[in-house]
Amino acid sequence: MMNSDGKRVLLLVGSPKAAGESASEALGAYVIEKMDQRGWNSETIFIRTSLQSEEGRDDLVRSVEDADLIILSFPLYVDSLSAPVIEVMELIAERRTDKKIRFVAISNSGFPEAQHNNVALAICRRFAKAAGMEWVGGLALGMGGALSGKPLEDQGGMVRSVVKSLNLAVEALANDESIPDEAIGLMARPLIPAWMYTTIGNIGWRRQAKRYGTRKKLHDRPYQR
Amino acid sequence: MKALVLNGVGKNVQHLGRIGEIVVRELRSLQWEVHDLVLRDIEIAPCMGCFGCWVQTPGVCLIDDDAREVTRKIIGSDLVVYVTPITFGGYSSDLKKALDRSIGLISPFFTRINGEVHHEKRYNHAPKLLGVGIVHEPDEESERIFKTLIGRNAINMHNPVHAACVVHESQSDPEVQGGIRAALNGLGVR
Repeated sequence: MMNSDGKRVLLLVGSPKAAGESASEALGAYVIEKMDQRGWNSETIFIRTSLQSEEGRDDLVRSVEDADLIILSFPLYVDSLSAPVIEVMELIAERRTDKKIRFVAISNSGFPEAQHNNVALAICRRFAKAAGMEWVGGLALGMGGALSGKPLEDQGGMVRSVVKSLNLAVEALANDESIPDEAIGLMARPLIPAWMYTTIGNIGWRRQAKRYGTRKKLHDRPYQR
Repeated sequence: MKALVLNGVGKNVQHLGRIGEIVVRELRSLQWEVHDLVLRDIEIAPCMGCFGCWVQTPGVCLIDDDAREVTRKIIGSDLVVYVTPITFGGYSSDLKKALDRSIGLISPFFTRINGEVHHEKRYNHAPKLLGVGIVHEPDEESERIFKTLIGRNAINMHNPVHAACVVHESQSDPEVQGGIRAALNGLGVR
Protein backbone atom coordinates (compact mmCIF):
# COMPACT_ATOMS: atom_id res chain seq x y z
CA MET A 1 0.00 0.00 0.00
CA MET A 2 1.26 3.50 -0.79
CA ASN A 3 2.10 5.90 1.95
CA SER A 4 -0.97 8.12 2.29
CA ASP A 5 0.38 10.44 4.98
CA GLY A 6 -1.23 13.83 4.68
CA LYS A 7 -3.11 13.02 1.48
CA ARG A 8 -6.49 14.63 1.19
CA VAL A 9 -9.64 13.33 -0.45
CA LEU A 10 -12.63 15.59 -1.03
CA LEU A 11 -16.13 14.21 -1.64
CA LEU A 12 -18.45 16.56 -3.51
CA VAL A 13 -22.06 15.43 -3.15
CA GLY A 14 -24.14 16.60 -6.12
CA SER A 15 -27.57 15.58 -4.88
CA PRO A 16 -29.94 18.36 -3.77
CA LYS A 17 -31.28 16.10 -1.03
CA ALA A 18 -30.47 16.65 2.64
CA ALA A 19 -27.58 14.88 4.34
CA GLY A 20 -28.25 11.20 4.87
CA GLU A 21 -30.98 11.03 2.22
CA SER A 22 -29.30 10.52 -1.14
CA ALA A 23 -27.83 7.58 -3.01
CA SER A 24 -25.08 9.95 -4.20
CA GLU A 25 -23.97 10.53 -0.63
CA ALA A 26 -24.22 6.83 0.28
CA LEU A 27 -22.00 5.86 -2.67
CA GLY A 28 -19.43 8.58 -2.01
CA ALA A 29 -19.43 8.11 1.75
CA TYR A 30 -18.55 4.45 1.35
CA VAL A 31 -15.42 5.38 -0.60
CA ILE A 32 -14.52 8.14 1.85
CA GLU A 33 -14.82 5.82 4.82
CA LYS A 34 -12.47 3.29 3.22
CA MET A 35 -10.00 6.03 2.31
CA ASP A 36 -10.14 7.27 5.92
CA GLN A 37 -9.27 3.77 7.08
CA ARG A 38 -6.19 3.94 4.85
CA GLY A 39 -4.99 7.07 6.57
CA TRP A 40 -6.29 9.69 4.15
CA ASN A 41 -7.73 12.96 5.45
CA SER A 42 -11.22 13.41 4.13
CA GLU A 43 -13.75 16.16 3.73
CA THR A 44 -17.33 16.08 2.42
CA ILE A 45 -19.06 19.06 0.84
CA PHE A 46 -22.69 19.26 -0.23
CA ILE A 47 -22.78 21.36 -3.38
CA ARG A 48 -26.34 22.55 -2.75
CA THR A 49 -25.42 24.21 0.54
CA SER A 50 -22.06 25.55 -0.69
CA LEU A 51 -23.75 27.56 -3.41
CA GLN A 52 -26.00 29.35 -0.95
CA SER A 53 -23.36 31.94 -0.03
CA GLU A 54 -20.20 33.56 -1.38
CA GLU A 55 -18.37 32.21 1.65
CA GLY A 56 -19.55 28.70 0.80
CA ARG A 57 -18.30 29.06 -2.77
CA ASP A 58 -14.91 30.32 -1.60
CA ASP A 59 -14.61 27.50 0.94
CA LEU A 60 -15.44 24.97 -1.76
CA VAL A 61 -12.78 26.30 -4.11
CA ARG A 62 -10.25 26.31 -1.25
CA SER A 63 -11.08 22.71 -0.36
CA VAL A 64 -10.69 21.70 -4.00
CA GLU A 65 -7.23 23.26 -4.11
CA ASP A 66 -6.26 21.51 -0.87
CA ALA A 67 -7.29 18.09 -2.18
CA ASP A 68 -5.14 15.44 -3.84
CA LEU A 69 -8.17 13.49 -4.97
CA ILE A 70 -11.72 14.67 -5.68
CA ILE A 71 -14.71 12.34 -5.84
CA LEU A 72 -17.84 13.83 -7.38
CA SER A 73 -20.91 11.71 -6.67
CA PHE A 74 -24.11 12.92 -8.29
CA PRO A 75 -27.55 11.94 -9.59
CA LEU A 76 -28.16 12.07 -13.33
CA TYR A 77 -30.34 15.05 -14.30
CA VAL A 78 -31.83 14.95 -17.79
CA ASP A 79 -28.88 13.08 -19.33
CA SER A 80 -26.38 15.36 -17.66
CA LEU A 81 -25.37 16.89 -14.34
CA SER A 82 -27.70 19.16 -12.42
CA ALA A 83 -27.37 22.94 -12.80
CA PRO A 84 -25.73 23.46 -9.37
CA VAL A 85 -23.10 20.81 -10.14
CA ILE A 86 -22.35 22.44 -13.50
CA GLU A 87 -22.15 25.81 -11.75
CA VAL A 88 -19.55 24.39 -9.35
CA MET A 89 -17.59 22.95 -12.26
CA GLU A 90 -17.63 26.37 -13.97
CA LEU A 91 -16.42 27.95 -10.73
CA ILE A 92 -13.63 25.43 -10.19
CA ALA A 93 -12.39 25.61 -13.79
CA GLU A 94 -12.29 29.41 -13.56
CA ARG A 95 -10.25 29.51 -10.34
CA ARG A 96 -7.95 26.50 -10.70
CA THR A 97 -4.24 26.69 -9.96
CA ASP A 98 -1.50 24.31 -11.14
CA LYS A 99 -1.72 21.93 -8.19
CA LYS A 100 -1.94 18.28 -9.21
CA ILE A 101 -5.39 16.89 -8.43
CA ARG A 102 -6.96 13.60 -9.48
CA PHE A 103 -10.66 13.51 -10.29
CA VAL A 104 -13.16 10.65 -10.27
CA ALA A 105 -16.92 10.72 -10.80
CA ILE A 106 -19.75 8.44 -9.69
CA SER A 107 -23.01 8.96 -11.55
CA ASN A 108 -26.29 7.32 -10.56
CA SER A 109 -29.35 7.26 -12.76
CA GLY A 110 -32.98 6.44 -12.02
CA PHE A 111 -33.21 4.42 -15.22
CA PRO A 112 -32.37 0.73 -15.09
CA GLU A 113 -29.57 0.93 -17.65
CA ALA A 114 -26.24 2.35 -16.50
CA GLN A 115 -25.51 3.60 -20.02
CA HIS A 116 -27.81 6.60 -19.46
CA ASN A 117 -24.90 8.06 -17.47
CA ASN A 118 -22.46 8.00 -20.39
CA VAL A 119 -22.91 11.60 -21.50
CA ALA A 120 -22.67 12.92 -17.92
CA LEU A 121 -19.43 11.02 -17.36
CA ALA A 122 -18.05 12.30 -20.68
CA ILE A 123 -18.81 15.82 -19.41
CA CYS A 124 -16.95 15.04 -16.17
CA ARG A 125 -13.95 13.78 -18.14
CA ARG A 126 -13.96 16.92 -20.28
CA PHE A 127 -14.26 19.07 -17.16
CA ALA A 128 -11.20 17.41 -15.64
CA LYS A 129 -9.23 18.25 -18.77
CA ALA A 130 -10.44 21.87 -18.80
CA ALA A 131 -9.64 22.27 -15.09
CA GLY A 132 -6.19 20.76 -15.42
CA MET A 133 -7.04 17.71 -13.30
CA GLU A 134 -6.11 14.12 -13.95
CA TRP A 135 -9.17 12.06 -14.91
CA VAL A 136 -8.94 8.68 -13.20
CA GLY A 137 -12.28 7.32 -14.30
CA GLY A 138 -16.03 7.26 -13.86
CA LEU A 139 -18.47 4.77 -12.39
CA ALA A 140 -22.01 4.58 -13.75
CA LEU A 141 -24.89 3.08 -11.80
CA GLY A 142 -28.40 2.36 -13.07
CA MET A 143 -31.46 1.77 -10.85
CA GLY A 144 -30.33 4.53 -8.49
CA GLY A 145 -33.95 4.82 -7.37
CA ALA A 146 -33.58 1.48 -5.59
CA LEU A 147 -30.88 2.88 -3.30
CA SER A 148 -31.52 4.98 -0.23
CA GLY A 149 -29.31 7.38 1.68
CA LYS A 150 -28.48 4.74 4.27
CA PRO A 151 -24.90 3.46 4.46
CA LEU A 152 -24.35 0.86 1.72
CA GLU A 153 -23.53 -1.78 4.34
CA ASP A 154 -27.14 -1.47 5.55
CA GLN A 155 -28.72 -1.82 2.10
CA GLY A 156 -28.54 -5.60 1.84
CA GLY A 157 -27.47 -8.07 -0.82
CA MET A 158 -28.93 -5.98 -3.65
CA VAL A 159 -25.88 -3.71 -3.55
CA ARG A 160 -23.33 -6.53 -3.47
CA SER A 161 -21.85 -5.67 -6.87
CA VAL A 162 -21.84 -1.95 -6.01
CA VAL A 163 -19.78 -2.64 -2.88
CA LYS A 164 -17.39 -4.89 -4.80
CA SER A 165 -16.98 -2.19 -7.42
CA LEU A 166 -16.25 0.49 -4.84
CA ASN A 167 -13.77 -1.76 -3.00
CA LEU A 168 -11.83 -2.17 -6.25
CA ALA A 169 -12.06 1.57 -6.88
CA VAL A 170 -10.75 2.39 -3.40
CA GLU A 171 -7.83 0.01 -3.87
CA ALA A 172 -6.93 1.72 -7.15
CA LEU A 173 -7.41 5.29 -5.88
CA ALA A 174 -5.31 4.65 -2.78
CA ASN A 175 -2.52 3.40 -5.03
CA ASP A 176 -2.66 6.36 -7.42
CA GLU A 177 -4.11 4.18 -10.17
CA SER A 178 -7.10 4.67 -12.46
CA ILE A 179 -10.47 3.02 -11.84
CA PRO A 180 -10.16 -0.54 -13.19
CA ASP A 181 -12.52 -1.84 -15.87
CA GLU A 182 -13.72 -4.55 -13.50
CA ALA A 183 -15.01 -1.88 -11.08
CA ILE A 184 -16.80 -0.10 -13.95
CA GLY A 185 -18.41 -3.37 -15.04
CA LEU A 186 -19.53 -4.31 -11.54
CA MET A 187 -21.09 -0.88 -10.93
CA ALA A 188 -23.03 -1.10 -14.21
CA ARG A 189 -24.50 -4.49 -13.31
CA PRO A 190 -28.32 -4.34 -12.79
CA LEU A 191 -29.24 -4.49 -9.10
CA ILE A 192 -32.42 -6.40 -9.92
CA PRO A 193 -34.02 -7.44 -13.24
CA ALA A 194 -35.05 -4.37 -15.28
CA TRP A 195 -38.69 -5.48 -15.59
CA MET A 196 -38.90 -5.76 -11.80
CA TYR A 197 -37.35 -2.32 -11.31
CA THR A 198 -39.76 -0.60 -13.71
CA THR A 199 -42.78 -2.47 -12.32
CA ILE A 200 -41.90 -1.55 -8.73
CA GLY A 201 -41.13 2.00 -9.86
CA ASN A 202 -44.49 2.43 -11.58
CA ILE A 203 -46.32 1.05 -8.53
CA GLY A 204 -44.28 3.41 -6.37
CA TRP A 205 -45.40 6.49 -8.31
CA ARG A 206 -49.06 5.48 -7.87
CA ARG A 207 -48.54 4.82 -4.19
CA GLN A 208 -46.94 8.22 -3.64
CA ALA A 209 -49.74 9.90 -5.59
CA LYS A 210 -52.33 8.16 -3.43
CA ARG A 211 -50.72 9.78 -0.40
CA TYR A 212 -51.25 13.20 -1.99
CA GLY A 213 -54.73 12.41 -3.32
CA THR A 214 -53.51 12.85 -6.90
CA ARG A 215 -53.78 9.31 -8.21
CA LYS A 216 -56.33 10.27 -10.86
CA LYS A 217 -54.33 13.36 -11.83
CA LEU A 218 -51.04 11.67 -12.64
CA HIS A 219 -51.63 12.08 -16.38
CA ASP A 220 -52.88 15.68 -16.14
CA ARG A 221 -51.70 18.19 -18.76
CA PRO A 222 -51.84 21.51 -16.93
CA TYR A 223 -50.06 23.40 -19.71
CA GLN A 224 -52.04 21.91 -22.62
CA ARG A 225 -52.44 24.62 -25.20
CA MET B 1 -45.72 28.97 -35.60
CA LYS B 2 -44.14 29.64 -32.21
CA ALA B 3 -40.49 29.33 -31.26
CA LEU B 4 -38.92 29.64 -27.84
CA VAL B 5 -35.27 30.56 -27.58
CA LEU B 6 -33.75 29.56 -24.25
CA ASN B 7 -30.61 31.63 -24.10
CA GLY B 8 -28.14 30.15 -21.63
CA VAL B 9 -25.30 32.60 -22.24
CA GLY B 10 -24.06 33.57 -18.79
CA LYS B 11 -23.01 36.94 -17.44
CA ASN B 12 -19.29 36.17 -17.83
CA VAL B 13 -19.61 35.64 -21.58
CA GLN B 14 -22.19 38.22 -22.55
CA HIS B 15 -20.28 38.98 -25.74
CA LEU B 16 -21.75 35.70 -27.03
CA GLY B 17 -25.19 37.31 -26.92
CA ARG B 18 -24.94 37.97 -30.65
CA ILE B 19 -25.46 34.26 -31.35
CA GLY B 20 -28.89 34.28 -29.69
CA GLU B 21 -29.74 37.48 -31.54
CA ILE B 22 -28.89 35.81 -34.86
CA VAL B 23 -31.12 32.84 -34.00
CA VAL B 24 -34.01 35.19 -33.18
CA ARG B 25 -33.48 37.25 -36.34
CA GLU B 26 -33.36 34.16 -38.51
CA LEU B 27 -36.60 32.76 -37.08
CA ARG B 28 -38.38 36.11 -37.39
CA SER B 29 -37.29 36.35 -41.00
CA LEU B 30 -39.12 33.05 -41.50
CA GLN B 31 -42.26 34.68 -40.02
CA TRP B 32 -42.09 32.69 -36.78
CA GLU B 33 -43.41 34.19 -33.57
CA VAL B 34 -40.34 34.15 -31.31
CA HIS B 35 -40.12 34.33 -27.54
CA ASP B 36 -36.54 35.04 -26.51
CA LEU B 37 -35.67 34.25 -22.89
CA VAL B 38 -32.29 35.27 -21.51
CA LEU B 39 -32.10 32.85 -18.62
CA ARG B 40 -29.44 34.66 -16.61
CA ASP B 41 -31.96 37.47 -16.11
CA ILE B 42 -34.79 35.42 -14.69
CA GLU B 43 -35.32 33.81 -11.32
CA ILE B 44 -35.06 30.03 -11.40
CA ALA B 45 -34.23 28.10 -8.25
CA PRO B 46 -32.45 24.75 -8.54
CA CYS B 47 -34.55 21.60 -8.81
CA MET B 48 -34.86 19.95 -5.38
CA GLY B 49 -35.21 16.44 -6.76
CA CYS B 50 -38.49 15.93 -4.85
CA PHE B 51 -40.54 14.63 -7.82
CA GLY B 52 -43.45 16.78 -6.60
CA CYS B 53 -44.04 17.73 -10.25
CA TRP B 54 -44.80 14.06 -10.90
CA VAL B 55 -46.81 12.96 -7.85
CA GLN B 56 -47.91 15.95 -5.77
CA THR B 57 -49.03 18.53 -8.36
CA PRO B 58 -48.68 16.49 -11.57
CA GLY B 59 -47.14 18.54 -14.36
CA VAL B 60 -46.38 21.61 -12.21
CA CYS B 61 -43.22 22.17 -10.17
CA LEU B 62 -43.79 22.83 -6.48
CA ILE B 63 -41.44 25.83 -6.56
CA ASP B 64 -43.38 28.91 -7.61
CA ASP B 65 -40.93 30.94 -9.69
CA ASP B 66 -40.22 31.78 -13.34
CA ALA B 67 -39.45 28.15 -14.23
CA ARG B 68 -43.17 27.39 -14.30
CA GLU B 69 -43.69 29.92 -17.08
CA VAL B 70 -40.63 28.65 -18.95
CA THR B 71 -42.03 25.13 -18.78
CA ARG B 72 -45.43 26.30 -20.02
CA LYS B 73 -43.73 28.09 -22.92
CA ILE B 74 -41.65 25.02 -23.87
CA ILE B 75 -44.67 22.79 -24.33
CA GLY B 76 -46.64 25.61 -25.97
CA SER B 77 -44.02 26.01 -28.69
CA ASP B 78 -43.48 24.32 -32.03
CA LEU B 79 -39.72 24.74 -31.77
CA VAL B 80 -37.37 25.19 -28.82
CA VAL B 81 -33.83 26.44 -29.37
CA TYR B 82 -31.18 25.98 -26.68
CA VAL B 83 -28.42 28.56 -27.06
CA THR B 84 -25.46 27.81 -24.82
CA PRO B 85 -21.73 28.07 -24.52
CA ILE B 86 -20.65 24.44 -24.73
CA THR B 87 -19.56 23.83 -21.16
CA PHE B 88 -17.30 20.77 -20.83
CA GLY B 89 -19.33 19.29 -23.67
CA GLY B 90 -22.70 20.04 -22.05
CA TYR B 91 -24.94 23.00 -21.31
CA SER B 92 -24.13 26.08 -19.25
CA SER B 93 -25.54 26.13 -15.73
CA ASP B 94 -27.82 29.01 -16.80
CA LEU B 95 -29.52 26.84 -19.42
CA LYS B 96 -29.49 23.71 -17.30
CA LYS B 97 -31.31 25.33 -14.38
CA ALA B 98 -34.35 25.80 -16.63
CA LEU B 99 -34.17 22.31 -18.13
CA ASP B 100 -33.83 20.62 -14.71
CA ARG B 101 -37.10 22.23 -13.69
CA SER B 102 -39.00 21.09 -16.80
CA ILE B 103 -39.27 17.35 -16.12
CA GLY B 104 -42.94 17.79 -15.24
CA LEU B 105 -43.45 17.86 -19.02
CA ILE B 106 -42.99 14.09 -19.05
CA SER B 107 -44.69 11.38 -17.04
CA PRO B 108 -43.10 9.52 -14.14
CA PHE B 109 -44.13 6.19 -15.64
CA PHE B 110 -41.55 4.09 -17.42
CA THR B 111 -41.79 2.95 -21.02
CA ARG B 112 -39.39 1.47 -23.55
CA ILE B 113 -38.05 3.39 -26.53
CA ASN B 114 -35.76 1.52 -28.90
CA GLY B 115 -35.22 -1.14 -26.24
CA GLU B 116 -34.15 1.33 -23.57
CA VAL B 117 -36.19 2.54 -20.60
CA HIS B 118 -37.38 6.18 -20.62
CA HIS B 119 -40.36 8.07 -19.24
CA GLU B 120 -43.73 8.16 -20.97
CA LYS B 121 -45.03 11.28 -22.69
CA ARG B 122 -47.34 13.56 -20.74
CA TYR B 123 -48.39 15.69 -23.72
CA ASN B 124 -49.24 14.50 -27.21
CA HIS B 125 -47.35 17.41 -28.69
CA ALA B 126 -43.70 18.24 -28.05
CA PRO B 127 -41.67 20.92 -29.83
CA LYS B 128 -38.89 20.32 -32.30
CA LEU B 129 -35.49 20.81 -30.68
CA LEU B 130 -32.47 22.72 -31.95
CA GLY B 131 -29.30 22.99 -29.87
CA VAL B 132 -26.96 25.84 -30.76
CA GLY B 133 -23.67 25.33 -28.97
CA ILE B 134 -20.92 27.92 -28.92
CA VAL B 135 -17.25 27.00 -28.62
CA HIS B 136 -14.28 29.31 -28.20
CA GLU B 137 -12.28 27.31 -30.71
CA PRO B 138 -12.86 24.00 -32.53
CA ASP B 139 -13.02 21.22 -29.93
CA GLU B 140 -13.94 17.86 -31.39
CA GLU B 141 -14.55 16.12 -28.06
CA SER B 142 -16.83 18.82 -26.64
CA GLU B 143 -18.74 19.13 -29.90
CA ARG B 144 -19.31 15.37 -30.02
CA ILE B 145 -20.57 15.28 -26.42
CA PHE B 146 -22.89 18.24 -27.10
CA LYS B 147 -24.44 16.62 -30.16
CA THR B 148 -24.95 13.36 -28.28
CA LEU B 149 -26.55 15.24 -25.38
CA ILE B 150 -29.04 16.99 -27.67
CA GLY B 151 -29.96 13.60 -29.17
CA ARG B 152 -30.38 11.97 -25.75
CA ASN B 153 -32.51 14.89 -24.49
CA ALA B 154 -34.72 14.61 -27.56
CA ILE B 155 -35.44 10.97 -26.71
CA ASN B 156 -36.22 11.71 -23.07
CA MET B 157 -38.33 14.80 -23.72
CA HIS B 158 -40.07 13.24 -26.76
CA ASN B 159 -39.03 15.95 -29.21
CA PRO B 160 -40.16 14.64 -32.60
CA VAL B 161 -37.06 15.88 -34.43
CA HIS B 162 -33.83 17.46 -33.27
CA ALA B 163 -30.61 18.95 -34.55
CA ALA B 164 -27.41 20.31 -33.04
CA CYS B 165 -25.45 23.17 -34.55
CA VAL B 166 -22.02 24.18 -33.25
CA VAL B 167 -20.73 27.67 -33.93
CA HIS B 168 -17.28 29.03 -33.22
CA GLU B 169 -16.80 32.38 -31.52
CA SER B 170 -14.52 33.53 -34.31
CA GLN B 171 -17.15 32.98 -37.02
CA SER B 172 -18.65 36.06 -38.63
CA ASP B 173 -22.36 36.80 -38.33
CA PRO B 174 -23.11 35.57 -41.89
CA GLU B 175 -21.22 32.32 -41.18
CA VAL B 176 -23.16 31.75 -37.96
CA GLN B 177 -26.40 32.63 -39.72
CA GLY B 178 -25.61 30.13 -42.49
CA GLY B 179 -25.05 27.32 -39.98
CA ILE B 180 -28.23 28.08 -38.07
CA ARG B 181 -30.26 28.38 -41.26
CA ALA B 182 -29.03 24.99 -42.43
CA ALA B 183 -29.88 23.38 -39.08
CA LEU B 184 -33.37 24.94 -39.09
CA ASN B 185 -33.87 23.81 -42.64
CA GLY B 186 -32.97 20.26 -41.60
CA LEU B 187 -35.71 20.43 -38.99
CA GLY B 188 -38.25 21.53 -41.58
CA VAL B 189 -38.32 25.07 -40.15
CA ARG B 190 -38.67 27.23 -43.22
